[in-house]
Amino acid sequence: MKNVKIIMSTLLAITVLFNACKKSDSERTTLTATITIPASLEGFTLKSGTVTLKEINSGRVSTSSAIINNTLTVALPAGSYNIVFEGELESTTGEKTVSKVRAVEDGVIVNGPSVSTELTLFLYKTQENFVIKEVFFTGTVTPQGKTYNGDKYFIIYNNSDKVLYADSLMIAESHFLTTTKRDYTPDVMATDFTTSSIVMIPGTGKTYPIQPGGSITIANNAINHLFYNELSVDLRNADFELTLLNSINVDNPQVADLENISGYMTMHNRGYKSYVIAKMKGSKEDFLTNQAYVTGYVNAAGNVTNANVYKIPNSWVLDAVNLSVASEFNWIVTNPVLDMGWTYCGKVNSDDTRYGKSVIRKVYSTAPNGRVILQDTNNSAEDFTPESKPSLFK
Amino acid sequence: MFLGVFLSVASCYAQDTTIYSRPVEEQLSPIVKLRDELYASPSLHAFYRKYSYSLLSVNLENTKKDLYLRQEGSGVNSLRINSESFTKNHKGVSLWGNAYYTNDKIKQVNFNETLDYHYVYPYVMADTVGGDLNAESYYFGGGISKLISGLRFALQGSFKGIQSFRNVDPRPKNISSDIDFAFSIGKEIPNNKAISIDLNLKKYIQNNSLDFANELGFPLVYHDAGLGVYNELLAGTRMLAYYKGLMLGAQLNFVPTNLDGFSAQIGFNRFQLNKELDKIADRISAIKENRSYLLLAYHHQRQKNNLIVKLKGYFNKREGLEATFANTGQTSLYKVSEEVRYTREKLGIKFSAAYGKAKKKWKWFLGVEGTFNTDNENYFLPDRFIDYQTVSAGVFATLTKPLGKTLLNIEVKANQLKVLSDDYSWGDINTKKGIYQMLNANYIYLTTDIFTTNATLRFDFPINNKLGAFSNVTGAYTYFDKINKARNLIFSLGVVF
Repeated sequence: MKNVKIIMSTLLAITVLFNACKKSDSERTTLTATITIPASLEGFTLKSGTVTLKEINSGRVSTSSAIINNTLTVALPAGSYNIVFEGELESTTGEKTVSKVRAVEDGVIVNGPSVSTELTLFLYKTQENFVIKEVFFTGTVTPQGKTYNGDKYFIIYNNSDKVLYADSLMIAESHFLTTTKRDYTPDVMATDFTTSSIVMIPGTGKTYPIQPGGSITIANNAINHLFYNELSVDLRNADFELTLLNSINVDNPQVADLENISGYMTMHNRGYKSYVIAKMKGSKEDFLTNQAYVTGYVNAAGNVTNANVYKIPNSWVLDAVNLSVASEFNWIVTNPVLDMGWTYCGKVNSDDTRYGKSVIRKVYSTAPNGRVILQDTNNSAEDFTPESKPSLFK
Repeated sequence: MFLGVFLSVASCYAQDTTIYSRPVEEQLSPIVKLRDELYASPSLHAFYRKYSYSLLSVNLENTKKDLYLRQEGSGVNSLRINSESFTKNHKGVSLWGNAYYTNDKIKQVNFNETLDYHYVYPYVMADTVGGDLNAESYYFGGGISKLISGLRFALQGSFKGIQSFRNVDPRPKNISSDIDFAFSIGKEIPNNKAISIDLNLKKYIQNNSLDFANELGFPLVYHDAGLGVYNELLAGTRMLAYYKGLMLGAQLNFVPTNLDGFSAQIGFNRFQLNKELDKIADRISAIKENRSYLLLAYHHQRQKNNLIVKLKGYFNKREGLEATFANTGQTSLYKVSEEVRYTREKLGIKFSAAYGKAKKKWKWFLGVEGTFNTDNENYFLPDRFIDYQTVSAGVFATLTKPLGKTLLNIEVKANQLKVLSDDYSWGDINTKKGIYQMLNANYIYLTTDIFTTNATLRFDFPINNKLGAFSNVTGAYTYFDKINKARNLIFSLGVVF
């Protein structure tokens, strides 16, 4: 009996010991985020704002407006955070003016007792101009379950209240993938968009007027794809078509071709690349001469991999849309001034649900004259409806 | 019809035999079945049966459950070829061994593309599709004990290998190996008693891969971190995982060498398992589990009266450590932190008692059993949990009766499990998501009252003086509620010698 008591007591002690060690809560790290007003915004003071923190492992999002002396102090669980500030600056001299500002800092590692980071503000000002209304980049699937790629398209929309000319409007696809972040040198992202596939609407400057609320459709192949795939779309009414690689190009002589400035616009069908529209300044030849550069990165073997690319100044860019998929996303490949978010079709690499879906810009409002105004906050995550039914599909 | 054919065959074979096998009677005794666990210590294994035996059997099993843990499947069709042997020699060496092969079709395994859920949970590779799974297992094990200078030294080892696969998308291809080794020293002490200490070691490895043949693509593949939570950074196309586990344990044993008296067993195991993913240098998660257990029993075995009273208790605490990573854009993710995000504590107490009496022409046994279990599973950030307590009570009866030279054994059981309390929380999940429905389905399974009945019919007949054959049919019917049921059918054929 004595042995039984000893054994029972031992078991009880072990049980109590385990329970005593029970972890009840997660440890926290104090993050201090300092909001910095750059020299270019001298004479302004921070009026208000909200910081959004997204932990990328868990997807957990938290927000705070408790900003004191341009500093936010918050206790967070350990992780890797993407931090966005959105707020307003107020002028300290002269007439009181208020300007919208943003700051973005990705991949802030929060661990240990305390961490600090800096959020440098930039002005956020949308302009009424051409915007990318829709990108159908995924292609379709035939009834037999085969992929069909020639039916992709862009729709560009005049989001202003005046007639705009589409002449010399470029569509450029990013050279970089949103799913593969590398330390590219030189790093020009603060000032330019890096591309190797550029097409341009021809014209003399006044050839292609687009009315307010009007749009143009640019098809891969402007043909009736329903003839080949009943699950596709008739694109014979497109305004323009691309000139693709010979092996996949089908020319419709009734539809004007875009001019290939560099490469072929094949459109990444998993949505790993981003697109901008920009107005060409000067001639094509000048562009190809002046904007060419070599980008490189150190590869896994320790060697430098170079590529001949072109840079489009951010100041030329009218609109941008970053595309990616959640499981593979690494970074946005535009400066956040152009676009600070990304949209998608499919949630994983090679997602079989992405086919026959596009990203479509949301409607913001309707003007008294009936003109539809599309949402343009320079944040594709907010401005676009992902995984939409393509608007040209019946 | 089956019984008729069987009895005819049994009767024919029985014509030439004269000796009835005592090891068979020993194996049929529910008291012996309850007692065997007490003599699991390798150095005391020599005492666990009165008679040496060898057995070769083929089992067919079919199980179908309307309520089930989604990760473990709704049932199984199984073929098992089993052999085991025990050679007893008190004064010198005792030997035992076991080998089996199983071929299983596990039905409707969802939210789990990984083998050996009981080892690796909650860290399974998962998708929302799943399906039936094919699995093959190979097991070889054995032990030896020898009396040297008054001490019994024993070594015991085993290997179990499993491979599982599916021939339609999603296509897991998993291979696991489970190696156990035990070293034990025992000593016989006065009054027919013996004590022993065992040191146990387990090494576990699994390669877990997933593939899709559909050229259009595939669904989200994620790595569950507990109660449906997963790391978004690791979800997508990471379809190659490695599990490496190690268990260390110790056990103290006290038993009567004549199978008559008080027995006790106390033990402690610590199991650690790491999960790694291809192309990530650091482990993504780890399990640390402590298990302590205690077994107390009194049993006596006389010529006509047999009795056992057994009380068993265990406490299990499993902690799951989860790493968070930063996406630096390079090939490998950079590990930021690691902390306990998952815990599960289980406490179980089981009482069993059986009494048996041998009459001239037959033996009967009556028994009762009762259990009390608590299970508390938690995930932190987001906070989710399942917490429930159950109690159960059951009775069983066994009748063994010679029919000519054939031995008939009938066993019936009934058990009622009641859920005393239950609670859960996963309010942060979109109710339309498959993970939400999975958690709800698992919760219903875990917290539903269960009434189970079980019946076994077995015939043993000697083929000659040294060889006996048997046939066994076991059927179980489980009643969850008016809609949900479960059934299990096992058919076995074998020889004992």
